[in-house]
Amino acid sequence: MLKSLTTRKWIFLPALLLAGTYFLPGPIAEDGIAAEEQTVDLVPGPQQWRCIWTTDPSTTALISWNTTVPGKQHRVHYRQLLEAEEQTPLISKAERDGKYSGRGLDLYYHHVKLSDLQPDATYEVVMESDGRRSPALKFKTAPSEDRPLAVIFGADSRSGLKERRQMNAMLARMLAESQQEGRTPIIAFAHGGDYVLNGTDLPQWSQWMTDHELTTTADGLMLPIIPARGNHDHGPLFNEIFGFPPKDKDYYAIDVGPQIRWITLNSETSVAGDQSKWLDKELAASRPKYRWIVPQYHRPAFPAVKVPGRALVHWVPLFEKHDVDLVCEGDGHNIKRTPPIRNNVIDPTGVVYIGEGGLGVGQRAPKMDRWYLRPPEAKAGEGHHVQLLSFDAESITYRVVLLDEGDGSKIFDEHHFAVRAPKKDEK
Amino acid sequence: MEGLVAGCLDCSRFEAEGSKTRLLTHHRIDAASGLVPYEAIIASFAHLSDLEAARYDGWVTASELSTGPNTESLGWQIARWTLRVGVCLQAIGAWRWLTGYDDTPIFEWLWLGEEGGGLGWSEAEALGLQRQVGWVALACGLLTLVRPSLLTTGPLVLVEAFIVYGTWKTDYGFTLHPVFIAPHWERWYPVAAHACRVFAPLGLMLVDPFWGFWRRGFRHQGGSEDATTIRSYLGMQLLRLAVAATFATHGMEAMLQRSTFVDLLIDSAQRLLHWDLPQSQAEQALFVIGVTDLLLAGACLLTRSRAVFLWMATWGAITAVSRVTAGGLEYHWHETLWRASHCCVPLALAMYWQVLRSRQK
Repeated sequence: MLKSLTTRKWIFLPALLLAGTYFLPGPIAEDGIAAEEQTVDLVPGPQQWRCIWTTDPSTTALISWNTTVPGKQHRVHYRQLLEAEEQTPLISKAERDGKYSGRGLDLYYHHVKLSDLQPDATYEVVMESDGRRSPALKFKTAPSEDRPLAVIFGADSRSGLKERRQMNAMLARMLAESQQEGRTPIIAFAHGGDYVLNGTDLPQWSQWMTDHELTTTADGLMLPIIPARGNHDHGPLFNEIFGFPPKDKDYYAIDVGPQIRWITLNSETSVAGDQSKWLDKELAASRPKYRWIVPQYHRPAFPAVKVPGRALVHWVPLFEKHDVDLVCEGDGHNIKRTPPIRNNVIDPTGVVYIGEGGLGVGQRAPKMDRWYLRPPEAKAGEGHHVQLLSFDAESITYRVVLLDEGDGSKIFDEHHFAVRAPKKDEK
Repeated sequence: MEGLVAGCLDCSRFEAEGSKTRLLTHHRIDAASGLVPYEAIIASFAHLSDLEAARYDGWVTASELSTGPNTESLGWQIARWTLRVGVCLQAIGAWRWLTGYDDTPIFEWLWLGEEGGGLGWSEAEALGLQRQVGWVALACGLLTLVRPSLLTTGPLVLVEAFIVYGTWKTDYGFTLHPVFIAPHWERWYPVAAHACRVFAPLGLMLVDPFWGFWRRGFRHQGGSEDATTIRSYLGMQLLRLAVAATFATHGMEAMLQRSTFVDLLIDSAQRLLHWDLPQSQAEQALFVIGVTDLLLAGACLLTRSRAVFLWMATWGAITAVSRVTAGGLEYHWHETLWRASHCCVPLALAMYWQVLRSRQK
């Protein structure tokens, strides 16, 4: 049959294939971020430091930093800061070192897990790699006593680098101000995912880690991060950056206070399988013990723009079954607070969903015609923002703090969620 | 040799019209090669007033000339219609996705700022274009069903290529980061994964030229629709490569336990069978599925076994429908339709090989 080819056909066929290649994508920048946006200025010695909370934050903290060379000896010097006496610094060696698996940059991670810390205490920490030391930084452990405290929730810092840095600087100001006498102290920053555009791109992560340093206050107080994985954060770098084991599925629960259970879920791994079973058990065990239960994850069950994620089918029934208090979601690039929802209708006993992400990424207009976004029961909008959640014995005070653009921070939304009445069988 | 004019592979359509067609031929047999160079002049047509002439300077073997009339078989018609239906359903799925959902790769690429490789359009502009593309897909898909031509299949190729390009620019390759794929190949993952959808209308364009722009632009005023033309051969070979690429990439995803696939199994088992499938078993099954997909991808390139292509068609249908069985109709029916080519392309290929095999016999 091929022998019936004509000369013109032979000309035609390659031409057609060539035309087809026109529609194939051209090369993109190696790191996905325009060169002028890159401000990573890596120098020898510890840098891109972070304090990470993935286990009991009242007694443990993961201190992590990066170096541009593998080095031989990596450790931290730490001591509790007490007014009465000056303690001799303790030394803890890095338990996990390695080269980031991403390409485009030679960067090495170092993780030190500090254990047996005192609750509600301030620690000074200095990271050291082969004799080079970081500045003296500080972090605070979570309290073991039931007292008011605040957690910042935000998501989607994958693009809009200028705004991301402004947001981080604002977080540092909020953190510093919250430490003043009489204010509710911010103790952690829960990030709902999508840190970078491409989760396998190390230069993008490096830029994010550099920018994350901006959340540190002028006097060196670090803002502990509670990380959740987003759909753009695929690949092994996420676990390497936040100190999870390589094959870890990245869902966990911690006590950010003795009455607050903060549950981080991973909407980017199997939702229907083991994670839902774990969540069911976790909620069943936690509900009787904690006043507040707050899950966070990336893809929303009640989205303001996109379509519902798998959480709607698999997690929402569990949230309603166990009466969680508030759910934090990302991914949508807007601001939202739904009314309390149960069985897909507004119900005063239901669960409220907040979030959608505004840590730098461009904002989108929420679809206000969706039944769970209609005012006055709900409130939605757009603007770079974080959600500030202040917990006390009676209520959660929810505030949406917009990016301070030189005219002071503005509150987009404020709402109070009262503590749930115990169920009859719990009385 | 006067009686062998029917062997002109590109004239078979007119030969089938019997008395309405009169062909004059001049043949010389090359004794050394056994090939027959011929020129065929279509002298007159009963239904045309003006003299239509076409010149053929191809080569066929003497044995091929002796096979008799090369009429369009039922199998070939089924193959072409399978492709038409697949492309049409795929277009309907794309229409629903692009007009009903706001988080498509096209939108993401248009809306994303330049720092992320996007165009930085406003949300309204990006959504507006995305929806227009969706309506173009619907119109072309429906027209393709009744009258495929360059004007209908061409835009469908572009629509799918647009989606691939957006995916490529915003997803940056293989989400699972396999260690056995080099980074520069990893980035082509979206192209390979979507190959079947891109090449389905392109293949149809080649195997099923019909009225309209394409036919006028082609020299064959008679418009052969036969299975044995080089256009058909090229179209089917492209589809063969495309379906192999799609199965191979999906196979790798399955082997690497892509979480959405795990949940498709668990949710489908729950909805259809009320079976609480443990995640570990779902992952084991997915590994077997992945290996099978890879073997099928290889087999479809190496053999013309109808069993292989029918197996691929069946599995393509099952995996497309699994979107609905796992997630329900409301949000997922378009995902099933959009994957129609995963079933229809291997089915058309199976029919194609059957037609060729019949011819040989």
